[in-house]
Amino acid sequence: MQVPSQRHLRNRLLAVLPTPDCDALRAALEPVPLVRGQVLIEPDQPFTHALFVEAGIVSAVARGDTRRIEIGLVGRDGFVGVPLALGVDRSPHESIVQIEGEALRLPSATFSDLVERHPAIRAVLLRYAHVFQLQTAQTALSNGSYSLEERLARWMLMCQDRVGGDDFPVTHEFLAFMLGVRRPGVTTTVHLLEGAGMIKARRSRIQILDRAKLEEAAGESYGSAEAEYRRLIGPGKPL
Amino acid sequence: MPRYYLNLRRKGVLIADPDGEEAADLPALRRVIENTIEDILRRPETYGENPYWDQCTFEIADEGGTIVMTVPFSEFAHEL
Repeated sequence: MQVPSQRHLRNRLLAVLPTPDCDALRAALEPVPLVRGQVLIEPDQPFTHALFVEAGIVSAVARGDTRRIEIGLVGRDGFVGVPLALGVDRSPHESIVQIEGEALRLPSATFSDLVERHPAIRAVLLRYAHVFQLQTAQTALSNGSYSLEERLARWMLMCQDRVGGDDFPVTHEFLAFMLGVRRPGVTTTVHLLEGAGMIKARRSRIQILDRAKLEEAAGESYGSAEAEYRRLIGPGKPL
Repeated sequence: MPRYYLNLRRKGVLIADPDGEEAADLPALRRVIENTIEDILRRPETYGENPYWDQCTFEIADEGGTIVMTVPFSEFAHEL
């Protein structure tokens, strides 16, 4: 499998790089599949690779003693391995594939070397690190919110931003796991969002019907990190 | 392990559990249900206020669709 030329790349960070810098990265990249449930980064283990997502979604997960909770989503808008770009070799967070897809990966040492030698690569990746931090702050704001409706609506918008289509595969169990709640909390909230005409839920799949209503339901927890992404990195579509 | 569907009935409406959950036997299932209800009622800041949940009853069905257990949330409200 070959690495696509820059204009065929789906990853937004690679797409906005000056061509010579993109080509330097492309020379080191290897296409890999992303399998649902696959753990890309183990907590507290040195990173072996950095990965630029082309399709699919990866969750960053924080783990406590008894609970796990999703703190951020990475799709074609970003890359897995932000600590590496910051000069850090490992993280207490786990990165796990939530929706299957593909990525382009390179070994950590090569990645760090390229980041060091190419200011344009470094600039884009550090901007992304900043926007990702904003996203996790918005997740904290959303988690402190009163309703699961807001959190779930936000999650669905963020997923749609990254997968591009109207529907995607996800089970209630996985959602519950990610949101840190028992499954019936997800089932009742999905039922509510369905009743309001925002989504249609079938077994293991969610379909977005009314994005505007979902944005209303998500309220302030959605939008500001996305606007910063557009401001700092570029429009692309849909982020 | 057998799979059970944690359907919820609230004010006459049945909210179906699309995926189900595995449990070794009915006592094990009962424990899962109790832990679930307690978690939900203890965390109104996450799940929403109790008046919503107090009106809910688990109507749990097996894979054949037979209701094997009915557990109202109100059974637990007074303990918290």
